[in-house]
Amino acid sequence: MMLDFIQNNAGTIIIGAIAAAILAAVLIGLVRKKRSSDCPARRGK
Amino acid sequence: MSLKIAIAGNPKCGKTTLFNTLTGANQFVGNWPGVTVEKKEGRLKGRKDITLTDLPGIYSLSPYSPEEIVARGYLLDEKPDAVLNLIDGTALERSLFLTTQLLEIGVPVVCAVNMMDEVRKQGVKINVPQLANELGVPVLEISALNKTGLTEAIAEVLHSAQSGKPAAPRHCFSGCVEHALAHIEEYAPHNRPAHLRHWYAVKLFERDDDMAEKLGLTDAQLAHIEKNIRTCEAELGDDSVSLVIQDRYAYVDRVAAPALRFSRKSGSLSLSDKIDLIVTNRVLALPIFAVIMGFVYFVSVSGIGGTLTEWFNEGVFGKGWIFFGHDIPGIPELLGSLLESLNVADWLSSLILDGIVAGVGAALGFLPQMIILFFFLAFLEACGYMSRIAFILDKIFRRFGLSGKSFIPILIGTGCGVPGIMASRTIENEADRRMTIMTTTFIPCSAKLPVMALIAGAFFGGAWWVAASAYFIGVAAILFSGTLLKRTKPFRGQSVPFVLELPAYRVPTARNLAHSIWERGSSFIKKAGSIILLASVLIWFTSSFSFVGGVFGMADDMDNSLLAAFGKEIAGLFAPLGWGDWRSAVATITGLVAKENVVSTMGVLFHTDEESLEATLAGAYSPLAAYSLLMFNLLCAPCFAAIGAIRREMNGPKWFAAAIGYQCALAYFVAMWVYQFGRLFTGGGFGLGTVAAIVSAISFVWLLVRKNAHKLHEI
Repeated sequence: MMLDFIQNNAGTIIIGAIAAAILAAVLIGLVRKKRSSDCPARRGK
Repeated sequence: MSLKIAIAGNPKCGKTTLFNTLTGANQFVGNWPGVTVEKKEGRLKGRKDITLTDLPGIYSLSPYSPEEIVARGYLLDEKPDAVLNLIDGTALERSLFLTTQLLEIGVPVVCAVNMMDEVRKQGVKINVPQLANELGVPVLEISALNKTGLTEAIAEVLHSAQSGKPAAPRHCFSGCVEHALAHIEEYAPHNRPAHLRHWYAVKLFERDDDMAEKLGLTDAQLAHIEKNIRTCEAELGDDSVSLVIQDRYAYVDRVAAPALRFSRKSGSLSLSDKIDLIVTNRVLALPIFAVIMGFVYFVSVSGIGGTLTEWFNEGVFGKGWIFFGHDIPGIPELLGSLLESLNVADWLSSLILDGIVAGVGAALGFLPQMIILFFFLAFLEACGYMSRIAFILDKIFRRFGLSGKSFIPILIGTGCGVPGIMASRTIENEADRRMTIMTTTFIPCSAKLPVMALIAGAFFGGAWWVAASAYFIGVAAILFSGTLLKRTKPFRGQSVPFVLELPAYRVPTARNLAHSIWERGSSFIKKAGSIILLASVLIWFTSSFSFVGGVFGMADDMDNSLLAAFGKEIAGLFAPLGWGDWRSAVATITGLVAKENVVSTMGVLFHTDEESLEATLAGAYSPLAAYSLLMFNLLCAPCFAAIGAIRREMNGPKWFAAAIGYQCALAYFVAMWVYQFGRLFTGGGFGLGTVAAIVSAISFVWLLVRKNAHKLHEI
């Protein structure tokens, strides 16, 4: 039954997995960029 | 043996051009710790053991700006093996001021006179050997732009670095100052290297608190030093800092005058001067500025930019286009066919086509217009015209409580509001600085261009004046705000004087233009592939799903979705502005994440397979309501990144709240006036909204023209 499910929805599973991976990569990239950004600036004397 | 070489010089003397040429792609850019001054380091091409550091552009080593503090800290603490002092050959005396200080810090120095091509064009000859003889250090001619003299300069710098022989300053101060310095040297920096004692003595004489703290002087020592300083000041009748500056410039004059020869008659005008006679003319300056900006927006939005964007939106991200007789399907058509052939579930197809492609495509569709606008702005900046704008607008800005100095952040804000807000640090007057921070984002940044282009395309036939009017209304909002705020207690006071050096006009290089366009364009594409992508997915999800009969699932109609439920709660707020429906309200809210999201959200919420986004929008709003929507999004609080910059720069939650509150309030009222008065004059009727608009307009006019109780009287 599981095999039938996979066979019937192969397209959805593959495309869904690709889309999820892309979105996850984008989200992780944004979170990493936010964490690695420099400390808030202070004014010079 | 690894060596560290620092490149130091005035701003705009060609350091970065030189640095980029010497390091190529082998560079890394970050920030100096604790400040947002950019730190650039790189390896010399072909010599991985040589590290080059591009120091921030500075006029002196005094501790008044973050750039000067960073540069001085690096030179004294990290001690590079040599300094390559880049001198602007077209401004020799000004550049040599910094040179006199670099010669005092005990590091090997090599001077390179840059822009020699420009110097020769101006008919000036610089006697470089004479300069070298006077300064006591190697001096060479280079042109970083034309890449001449660079090999010799590097060879000389490496030789100096390897020899380790520090520069010995040839200049000295006046007798009284030298006497005071000698006394100070006795008291202070005994434990410091011998070749640095004079430098520390000069800094202490200038009452440099940073140096005093660094040297760990006792109160008794400081008191004695102060006594010496006061004695000298009393004798010469001026403060210690001025005395040092005067002596330095006197030395620079003695060195530079014999080394300079002018072939054209003194007093005759250079080509730049002749152009400035017209461009900065009292009468012609502003009309010329208006014509140039009008032309820029005409070509970017309506001309070739409009044509290319139409192809992008309706071809690449639409149904397709014809290429030499062949039908090329657009991305939605291609993806749609692929998803259908793979028998992908409806919800996933909808996510990809109605969410991601519709949202990201709507924003990316305006890329051609943005690229062309970036080209023009980069050209105007690189050729030197933008400096003239700051000069021209200074007089006008003063009448409205600002100064031309405020225009520099605003000018930078035409690219992105974040560096524009941070550039306000150059304004010493705190009230003016805060006012500039509050008003910088009124000028349309590049992220707002897709919004302007969408409104222009959907409602005004792609007319160029829509985007140009947004630009000028932004400037008007800044002037209006200056007048209004200067009449309040927190912002009272005279604006500071504005001193600006107008660089010579030059033809920008294709390489620099391409680099500038690439930087901005790629930043936009990255944003589209990240923030806008995620926002489009979120918008799609919340506009496609809801609780149907208590069960969570796909909504049969977008009007019944989760997003519609939220949007309808807030839409009423915008009813007086003419666009009180949930879609435009939600689009405006998502614009807080990134202004391009206004377009991508509309792309998702107004997406149909039958017609283009512009056609759908044209059927949903009137042109007046659309222009009101544009005004609100133009003037209201900027994106989160810029809001974060405002929070940091305002240094206080109350000021931050005041800034954002003011921006939103002004945006609301301006949008309301546009819609309500526009309706009144086009026979749309008179209602409560019209009354509110009249009352608020009268109040604002009163605020502008009332007597300024906080005006400081001039003596």
